[in-house]
Order: sequence, then structure tokens, then C-alpha cells
Amino acid sequence: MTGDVVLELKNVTVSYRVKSGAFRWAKYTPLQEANLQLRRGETVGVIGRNGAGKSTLLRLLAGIILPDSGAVINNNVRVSLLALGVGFLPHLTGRENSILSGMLMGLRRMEIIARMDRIVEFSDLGDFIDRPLHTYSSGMRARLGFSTAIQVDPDVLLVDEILGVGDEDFRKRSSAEMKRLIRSEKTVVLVSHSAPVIKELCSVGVWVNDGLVTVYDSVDEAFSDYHK
Amino acid sequence: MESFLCGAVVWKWFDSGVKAGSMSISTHQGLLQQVYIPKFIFPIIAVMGSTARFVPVFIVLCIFLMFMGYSPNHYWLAIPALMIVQFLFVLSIAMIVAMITPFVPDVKVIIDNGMMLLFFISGIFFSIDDVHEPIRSYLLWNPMAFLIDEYRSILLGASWPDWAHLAMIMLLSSLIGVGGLYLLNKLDHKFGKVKF
Repeated sequence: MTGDVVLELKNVTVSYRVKSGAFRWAKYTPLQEANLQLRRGETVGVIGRNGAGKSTLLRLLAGIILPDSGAVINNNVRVSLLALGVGFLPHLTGRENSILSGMLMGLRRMEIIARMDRIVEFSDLGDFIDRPLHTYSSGMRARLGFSTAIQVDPDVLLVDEILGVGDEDFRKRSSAEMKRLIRSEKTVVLVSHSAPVIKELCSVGVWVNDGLVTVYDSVDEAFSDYHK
Repeated sequence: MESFLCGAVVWKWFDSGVKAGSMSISTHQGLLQQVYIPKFIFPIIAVMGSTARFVPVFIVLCIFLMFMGYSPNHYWLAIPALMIVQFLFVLSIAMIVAMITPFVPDVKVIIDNGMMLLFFISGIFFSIDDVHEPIRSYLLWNPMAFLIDEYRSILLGASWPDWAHLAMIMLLSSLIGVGGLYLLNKLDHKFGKVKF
């Protein structure tokens, strides 16, 4: 199942400056000397308490932030953080927003236009697709966001706890689609607080705690340390 | 009246461009946490937006001036040159302020008040040429005061602008703009870590 390394963190440290007084700054270091290797086709489940640095880890992998020390080595793969409704603007139509959002997430304009039919079909918005976004309910907006995001199709997909949005029917369909995507041959990093989801989908467990990133060959081992 | 309108329309472009530029990165903070986008794009979008709003207003101003009896003449051909220089100037300032406000949000207040001060000394309510000498030269250090004066002398007074001065502002804007671009690229990945 596992192939060559596509993305690698080497001795990565990330710290944030946190204001602690009028002119005093404290340092908060969610990741310290972290090492992680992502192999092709792997599904990695990331667990850890709130504020442990899981989202920082994903942002680092996605190239949104750079480490303060150490290196993120990308072996020529397209990495994308799955996010709903990136860059949506209320005065544009659903279709235009979908194109904009897809482009922001790294697709070419023609690529996203070619996938428009699938987006329209999956989102099931009917006539609303050509109406401005401000006429949408929040559920409809989430459906459009989800349908667009799953079409982005990067080499490495980073998912931060979004399994199922919208009403009951769409929730079922979207989480089924999500699981299908994660089970495919794609490399996926999944952050979740839901133990059953991680156990069901992931082959490798990563526990983020006190700046340390510990990699386990099985998810169960990671959970047993996490619950200790 | 015509003199004031010339000044006000031209000023508005600078004012809206710089203010929109100053907020351009800050307002997209949410977006920056989700995807990587080169940051220099944001001030450019902001200034393009304010330019798109300025152009139709300027055309209306020209039509108004024609109604008031100022007929278009060959001096008006110099107006695009003024616009290019002003565009570069607005863009260069927007780059700099866009870079600063995410790190020091209070700079926004300084910018808003600074713009108010500049508004009163850029020769919008009065003509720079009515001010007597030592002060007139000092006021002309402000590129906007110079540009507004030149728009006015082209549109209302029918004369060519001071090309050397114009070229100097263009050079200055290019230098500031390149500096801003360099800094925005250097700090590119820091913006994702700023918390609001």
C-alpha cells in the first residue's frame, strides 16, 4: 500500500508570538522538532487535544505557513487543504463562486469549468446555481462549498474535520463521498476528534501533544497512548 | 467650483485606493488561513477596484467641464500620462500600507487621520499656485498636491504638465512599489500566522 515519500517534515519547529502584556510577548510552540513522512497512498489520522497543533501541522503541510526552523520537503506534489467555501463572494452566482473557489484551491479555470456538471449534480442546488450567493441558505452554501472542494483533486489531501454538511440527505451523501475519496489511492491526512472515523479510515496514526509529533504504525496504538 | 471638483475627483482615487489597500490583506485573513496565495495580489486588486470606480467618475467630470465651456484640446492628451503616474503612486503606497496593517492594526487609525490631513494640504479647496513661495514649494513635495495641480492646469488652464516632475514621481513610485513588492514576498508566509 505504501509507496515513496511525497511530503516530509524534517525537524520542524513552529512557534507563534502571543501577546501576554502591554509590551510582553510570550512564545507558544505547538510543534517542536517534529518529523513526519507521508507516503503515496497512505491515509494518516491525526489526533490530539484542542490547541495541540493539529491545524498548524496541516497549514504547514499545505505551505500556508513556513516553519521557524527545519524544512518541509515537497517532492513535487500538489497539496491542498480541504476547506468549504474558500473565497466565496455574496454577489457572485453559485457557478461563478465555484469557479473562483476552485481556482483559489489550485485548479485551472478550464479544469474547474470542465467539472462544473459534476459540481452542479452533486450539490443538487437546481436553479439556485445561477443565482447570487446571498440568496442561499447556510446549508446550501455548505453544499456548494463541499461539492466544489471535492472536485479539487490534489495529490495530497488535507482534511480538517469536515465529514458531512447540510441536511440529512446531503450529510449522508457527503460523508459517503468523503470516505470514498479518503479510501481511494490518494494520500490523505485527516484531522478528527472522532475516534470511530479515524479508526475506520486511517492506516497510520499521528498523535500531536506538547509539541511532539509521534507516528504510530497503527491507529489503535496512537489512541491507547492518547487515552493514557 | 470646477477647480474643487477636479481636485476632489482625483483625490478620491488616491484616498480610496490607499484605504482599500491598507485593509486588503487584513480583510482576507480567513482566506489566507485556508489557501496559499501570494500576498502582493491583494493590494493590486484593491487599487484596480478603486481605479475602476474612478474612471467613470472622471469621464463624468470631463463631460461636466465641457458643459461649463471648457472645450477639449490637445493638452488633454497628457491626461493618460498623469493617470499612469498616479496609478503607480497609489499602488506603491497601497503595497506598503497593506504590508504593515496586518502586523500593526492600529496603523489603520494613523492612515485614516493622515489622509484627512493630506486632504487639507493637497490643494483641493485652494489652488497651490495661490500660496506664496516658500510654503508652495514645501506643499509640492506632496506628490498628490502636484498631480492635482497638474490635472487642473491641463483641464482648466490648457497647458502641458511639468514632465520632469512627473517623471520624478514615477521613479519614486516605482522604487517604493518595488520595495513594497520585495517586502510582501519576503514576509509572504508570515501573514498566515498573524492572529486577529
